[in-house]
Amino acid sequence: MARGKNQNIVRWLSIGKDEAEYNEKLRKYEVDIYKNFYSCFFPQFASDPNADWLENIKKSGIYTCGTIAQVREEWKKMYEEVPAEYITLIFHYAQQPKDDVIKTIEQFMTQVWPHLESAE
Amino acid sequence: MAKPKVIIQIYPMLPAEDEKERMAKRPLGRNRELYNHVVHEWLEILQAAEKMGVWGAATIEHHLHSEGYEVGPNPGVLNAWWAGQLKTMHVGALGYVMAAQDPIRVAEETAIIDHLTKGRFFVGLARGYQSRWTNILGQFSQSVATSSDGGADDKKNRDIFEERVDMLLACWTQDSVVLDGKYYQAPYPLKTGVEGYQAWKIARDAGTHGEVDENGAIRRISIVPSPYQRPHPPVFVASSKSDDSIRYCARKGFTPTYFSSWEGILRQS
Repeated sequence: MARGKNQNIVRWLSIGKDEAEYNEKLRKYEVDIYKNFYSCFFPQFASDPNADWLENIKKSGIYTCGTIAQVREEWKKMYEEVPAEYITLIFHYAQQPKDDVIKTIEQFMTQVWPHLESAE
Repeated sequence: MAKPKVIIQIYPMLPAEDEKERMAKRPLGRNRELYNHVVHEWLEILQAAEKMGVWGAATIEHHLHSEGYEVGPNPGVLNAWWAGQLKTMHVGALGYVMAAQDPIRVAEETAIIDHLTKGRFFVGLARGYQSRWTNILGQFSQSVATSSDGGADDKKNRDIFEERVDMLLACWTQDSVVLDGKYYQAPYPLKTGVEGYQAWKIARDAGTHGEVDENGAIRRISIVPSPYQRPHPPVFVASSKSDDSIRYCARKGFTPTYFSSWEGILRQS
């Protein structure tokens, strides 16, 4: 079986026009649930209580966040190693408003996804 | 080469400005106006995603989060609704928490959704890591949540998960089954079968062969309907760090779904 076949990579996704914007999105949409919920269940994800929770999220390894260019490069690198048949993108709608969820999906589908090839 | 199939997984989180507001407005999970707005507006996201070529829409099974995190106790109900509202997207869940589910009910519900979607359906299965509700809803077989730590609860949770998944596969693919497990049996009680069933004659004469014995007891069961897809809908299994889960998927032909860091995925894939 080709590497990547029957594999599904899951990522929480946050895209901003610059660092300030995607940081702001992470703060508004992700810090609450990451700090109070995910970090309680998953000790393997970064959860230093003395650190900025934004940095914990970025170190967790389960978020891809950045500008479009950064997110695209990250996914392209992932796909050079594991061209997974499936990608699952997680959103905390409605903490993240509908319009921003739709915009993020559109950015991924038009500016990241076309650059990815998976196993047959 | 092909394009990856993209699935949008929504964890419905009822919104608050911040942690303080979540506390001030508690319990957000019980806010009926907010939930009603969210569950309907959610569809607009999926319809927009469908137009963009997104392959699938999924959600989770989580219960009892009164603080408003991940309000998603029944993915099947949502899948069934989306089935009628979406034209090309696949629908599914990532996934049914088998430690807290009856395997016959999962087989039935997923078969129906498979028919409603005419095969645009995938079934995700998970072991259950949130004790708040896994330990309650799994009480009938003393199921417990797992933290994938190799401990006693983890092993028991895995035993129950694998037993129920095997039962689910059997219910989907075989015309009749006997579910003879450590944690679940059917017919029940297994030793005698179901005695005293009043309509046993027509079950014997028109039901699946072998269900009814010479004394009219139900000795095998037949899950109806059978799924639309043959042999069954594709199965995805969630994993955050367990190598055993990945090996299990490989043995069964399931799709492992990596909720893990890139290093974890590289090692396990």
